Parts: sequence; structure tokens; C-alpha cells
Amino acid sequence: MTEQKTSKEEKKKKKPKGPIRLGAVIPVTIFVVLVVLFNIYFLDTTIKKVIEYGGTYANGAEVNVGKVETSFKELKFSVKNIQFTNKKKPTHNIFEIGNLQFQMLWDAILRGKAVISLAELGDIKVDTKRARPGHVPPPPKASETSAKDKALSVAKEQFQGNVFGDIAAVAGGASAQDTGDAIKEGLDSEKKFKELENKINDQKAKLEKSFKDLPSQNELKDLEKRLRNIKWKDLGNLAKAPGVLKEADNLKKDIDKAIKKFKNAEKEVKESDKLLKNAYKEAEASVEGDIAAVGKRMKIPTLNPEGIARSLFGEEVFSKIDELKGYYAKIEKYLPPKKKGPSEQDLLKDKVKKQRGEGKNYSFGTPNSYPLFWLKLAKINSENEQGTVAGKITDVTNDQAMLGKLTKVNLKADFPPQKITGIEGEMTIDHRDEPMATISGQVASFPVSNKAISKSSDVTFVIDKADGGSKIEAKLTPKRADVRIKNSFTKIDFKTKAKSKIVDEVLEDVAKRTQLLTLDAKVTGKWDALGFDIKSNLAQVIQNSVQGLVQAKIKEMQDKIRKDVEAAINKQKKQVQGQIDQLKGQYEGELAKAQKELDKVKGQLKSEEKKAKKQADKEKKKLEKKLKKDLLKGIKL
Amino acid sequence: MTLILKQIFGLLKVLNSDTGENQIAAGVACGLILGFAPALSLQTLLVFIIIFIFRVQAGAAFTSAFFFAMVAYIFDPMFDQVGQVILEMESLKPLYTTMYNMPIVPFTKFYNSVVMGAGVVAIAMFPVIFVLTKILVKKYRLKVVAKFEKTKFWKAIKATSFYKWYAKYDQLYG
Repeated sequence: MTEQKTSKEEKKKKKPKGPIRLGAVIPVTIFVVLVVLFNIYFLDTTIKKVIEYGGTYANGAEVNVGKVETSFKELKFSVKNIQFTNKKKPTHNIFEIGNLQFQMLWDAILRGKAVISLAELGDIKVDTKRARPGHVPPPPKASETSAKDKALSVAKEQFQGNVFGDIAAVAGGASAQDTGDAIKEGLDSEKKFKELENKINDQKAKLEKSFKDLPSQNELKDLEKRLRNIKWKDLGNLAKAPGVLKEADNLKKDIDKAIKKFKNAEKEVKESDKLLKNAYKEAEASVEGDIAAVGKRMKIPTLNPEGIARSLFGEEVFSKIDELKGYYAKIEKYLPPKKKGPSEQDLLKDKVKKQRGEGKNYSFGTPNSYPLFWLKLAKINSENEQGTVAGKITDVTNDQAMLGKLTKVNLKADFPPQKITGIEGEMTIDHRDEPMATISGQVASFPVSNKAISKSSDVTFVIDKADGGSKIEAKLTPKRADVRIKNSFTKIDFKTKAKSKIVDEVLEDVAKRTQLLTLDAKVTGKWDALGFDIKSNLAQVIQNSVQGLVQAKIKEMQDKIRKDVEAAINKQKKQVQGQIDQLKGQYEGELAKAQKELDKVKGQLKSEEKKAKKQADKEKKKLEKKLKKDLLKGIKL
Repeated sequence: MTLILKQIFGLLKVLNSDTGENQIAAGVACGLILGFAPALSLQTLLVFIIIFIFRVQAGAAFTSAFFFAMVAYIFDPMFDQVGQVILEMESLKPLYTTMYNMPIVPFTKFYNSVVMGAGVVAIAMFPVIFVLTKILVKKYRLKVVAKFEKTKFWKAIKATSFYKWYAKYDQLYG
């Protein structure tokens, strides 16, 4: 019985197991069922959340999606009711897309690429009221802003001001008798002269160090002594001559070495002088900037039309440029231009941390292959009670260089109930080689209401109602921007109010004379040094109205500021100039003295050498003569 | 973590038992492919599926993958060089172009020099590692396990009731 049991156990034990793990079938089946269930019940919700999250990031304000429907078999996606919150007015949507459908290609998906062959956008509405106010995320923290942003925020500061308030203050009797407080806030030139003092000390230390290496007076005297001690007379003696020559040669080398050191020191003195002169010029030039800054601190109004236009419309133009910069940054991010080899930063990163498996990716693309992402065509066709929108977007891709096609956007729209008509826009993005985006757009007519031109506790100058028209043309690259904006306002109803009676009269006069308001802006240059050229006919009208009232007073104040700033800086300026002159004089004197000493020794050496050479020639001739004589005597014998 | 530990204990158990030389050798060889692959790609997924579906010792695969991944880190520049040589072969370019534009194949990331180099080296070494592991396992069992089982210490352990209980448990549920 026991034997039988044991053999059964052994048989059970030795039963061969096949190569397939049958126990794995159940977990695999469960996994597959879970994936299928996820696709049926949760894929649409997940896509919806992803669009909302990504859209909010791109729009800068909450984006909501009504419904997402996907068809896995046909690779069709349908998104209904996408609402883009207006970040400036969160109670409203900036626009709303009723239907969005797009179809992807299976062929591309199986190649690991996302290609949307056709997207259709329809039922577009603008400025619709939201069911609840949309969330607007806070702007990025200061530490996250780029150098471009910093440069722009510096530019923004230039536009801060209240031209009417300042005119009111001057007209009301503000005085420039006390510029002290405004100057006390700090002068840039003062800082620069202070820095120059430090530079002088640095150069002084540098020169002191290099002058320490120069041969001392004792060493120069020693050279002179060595020269005197050379026994030139021994040159006539064949046995001693080589020793004398060697000694003379060594002395010459030492003198040349000393001369070289002096020449280097002379070069350093000249370089220091140049550096300090340039720094001085720079500090001197910043005085003009200080005069303007003090004027601004004392709120002295600029009465040239350009200054007035900058003060009135600068911030508005600036905000448009800032928006464009934001959009272009997104274009750069999502439609990256062709890479031109690794940057220095990338190479440095590689040196610091070499990750596993980065390797080199080879491309074996053919003209028919797909880029990683490609939206071939998006048709926009909307007609509803709000108006019509028509247009198309073509060839949005992450790799234009490979596709060889430009991304183009064309749009035309009219919203008669909102009185917004003649919207036309065109955008071309060329990221094939040198990245560039060209944008041109216009809105023929749009209503304007409650547009503040100047609003403060002292002055209210607001366009209550008007018809507006706007045109924009822009060429943007990662480094530069070239933007032209033309705005015009007609049928204007102004709302004016001022505490000062004079300003109130001025505003009324300006409002009466301004039937057409134009605002033209040209912004060009590198992103970190943009030049703003803002012109408005309103500025000219304001200038004409207030010139007689306050110009003399402004001139008086400006002269006073110039005088006071120069007085504040003069003492320091003279002191710095003195220090530079003293430094230059001291070292140039020392150099001249030592150079004189060396030239003397070198001259003596040369003259002794000449003398010795003459003596040696004489001795040589004498010896030759004697030898000839002795030789002839020998022949005779 | 528990799963990995379970697999490692499983490896020790199989290593010290009478069977499974081929399973262990296949596991170690599969681990070689997993460890050398620099990133998740189609072929690594394929190896995972093989380990999961076929009776390959998973503990051996993961342990050796861990070990070979460390080795691969050192040999990456070599893999990169090998991959570049293979991918730059003019005669193979038409094949690569076809593969690059074929469905699914690009998911293997064959166009990356490190993936290609590491893949080729791993496939070339697969039979060597398989045979070598098999020989080493046999020798280990013959020389180490057999000798250990003859020691008094092991005999004493085997005589304990705890061991008998464990042996029974292992026979029934192990």
C-alpha cells in the first residue's frame, strides 16, 4: 500500500511540464480585458481631461471640453463644445468651438507617427458668456521668466506714466527748486563713477605687481658695473678674447631681457589707460540718462508728440507685443525649428552626465515617410446666429525640414451681431531652416467702449464709445521681432474729467478736436532690446493744446535738473579724472626714468663693442702683416 | 519588490534542485538581452512576453538583466561604435530605409546606434551565454550542492522537524 502511494507521488512529481506556462494565460486574459474595458469606458474621459489640461496651459486660462467620442476602428475623434476662457474677462469665453472632428491614419500609427489627415472645425462663437467664471492660473514666477521676459519688463517700465497728471502738476505750480529727493534716489552715473574708482584700484594693483617684476635701480646699476668691468683690451689677446666676447654677449642678453620687461610694462600702462578712458566715457555718457530719469521721477511731462504717445499708448502696444511673444514661444516649442547641432549648453550637459543609451539616431526617411506629428489639413467652416468663420490650417508638423512644407493659417470671419466685421488673418510659419513666422491680420471694424487712455485719481480721459479698426503685420524669429500695428478709431465719444481746471479745459479741447484717433506703432529689434516707435495724432493735438500753458515751466525745470545732476556728479568726476591722471603720470614717469638708464647702458655697450671691434681689426691686420713678413723671409731662405 | 524577491528565491531554489537547467540558462540569456537594451522598445517587450508565456526562469532573467545592465553601462561607447558601423553600411541602407518606413518595425528603435549595437552583441552572445550558464549550473550542482548536502551541518538541518514540515509544504504547495 505504502509502496503504491510512493510510486504515485513519484509519478506526480516527475510529470513533465510543457514549455508554455499555462498559469500565465489567466493574468494575460485579465490584462487584455482590462485594456479593452479602459478603452470602452475611460479612454474618452482621459482624452477629454488631457485636452482640458493641455488647452489650459496653451490658452493661459481654463479650457473646458463638453464631450469626446472616439472610434478606435476608424481612428476618428470627435470633440464637442470646447470653451476657451478669456483670461482678461474670465466670465466670458474668448471663443467656443462647437464641433471638432479629426481623423488619423492607421498607417502612420503603426509607424509610431501621428498623422491627422483631416480636421474639421465648426460652430465657432466668440465672446460667449460662461456658465461659471473660468479659472485663470497665475503667471509664471519671476525666477522662471527668461532673459527675454526680463528685458521686456524693463521696456515696460519706460511706458509707465500719467501724462495728464504730470501736466496738471506742472500747470498747478509744481516747482523744481528741490531736486534733492529725486537725485537722492540714486544716479546711475554716480554708481558708474564709483565702479570706475574700483577699476582704478584694480589697475593700480595690476600695474604695481608688474612693476615689481621690473629690474630695480640696483640691478640697473649692476648692469652698468658689469659693463665697466669688461676688459675690452683683452680682445687683442687671442686666448682671452672668447671669454670677453662671451661676457659681453651675456650682458647684452640681460639688457635685452630688462628692456623686454620694460616694454611689457609700458604696454600694460597703455592698456590700463585705454580701459580707464573708455570706462570714464561710459560713466560720463550715463549723466544724460540720469537727467532724464530724475525728470521722470519729478514727473516732468514730455511735450514732444512721441513722448506723449509712448506715455498714453506704450503699455497697450507693449501688451500686444508681450502676447505675440507668448504665442511665438508656443510655436517654437510645439513646431520646433531644425536643430543646428548641439548647443554649448548641451555639450556641457553631456560632459556632466552621460545617460545610458542615448546614442545617435539615424534617419532613413523617404519623401513619402511621415514626421512624428502632422496635421495635414484643418478646415474651419462655421455658420451660426453669431456669424461666419471660414478658413484652413495646413501642414502643422514637428518636422518641417523633413516634410518640406510650410505651416499656413488662413482665416476670414464676420460677427455682425457683435458689430465685429472684416476679420482676416494669415500666418505662415517657416521652420525649415532659419525659423520665422509671418503674421498679417486685420479687423475692419469693431466696437470700442470704455477704453481708458488715461485714468487716475486726478484725470479721466476715456473713449466712451467708438468704432475701431486694426491692422497688424509681424515678422518674428527666435531672436528678432518686427511688428507694425495700425489702429484707428472713428465716431468717438470721449468722457473727460479732471481735478485741475486747466487740465479739464485742455481735455475738453482735445476731445473736441479729435474726430479721428490714429495709433501707429512700429516695434523692431532683438527681443531683449526692442525699439518702440509709437505715433498718434492724439499726441500732436495734446501738444498743441498744452504747449502754451506749461512749456516754459517745463524748460525751466529741465535746466534746473541738468544743473543739479551735474553739480552732484562733478566732484566725483573730477576726483576720478585726477586719480586716472595720477596713475598714468606715476607709472609713465617711472618707466621713462628706467628706460633712460637702460638706454644709457645699452649705448655704452654698443660703443664699447664698436671700439673693441676696431681694436680687434687693427690687431688682426697687424698680425696678418707680421705673418706675411715671416712667410716671405722663410721663402728667401 | 515582493515579486522580484520571490523570483530571486525561486532562482535559488531551482539552482539547488535537480531540474531546470535549461530554464535557468534561458532566463540568464534573456536577461542579457533585457540588460543590454538601453530603452524600452519592441524587442524588450517581446522578451518580457517570452519570459511570461514560456517556462523561462524569471528570477534568473531579472537578476541577470540587473547585472548585464550595469555591464552595459560600461560598454555603451562600444555598442555605440558597433551600431554606427552597422547602420552606416551602404549595402544595408536600402534594407534600413524599407524597415524605417514599414509599420511597427520602427518601434524596435533599430535606427539608434546604441540599440542596434547592444542588440547585435546581445543576440550574438545569446547562445554563448545559454551554453555557458548550463555548464556552470551543472558544475555548481555537482561540486557545490552535492558536497554541501554531504556535510554534517546540512544533515542536521534535514533532520529537524521544521525542515520536514517545509519539505512537505513545498511538495504540496511549492
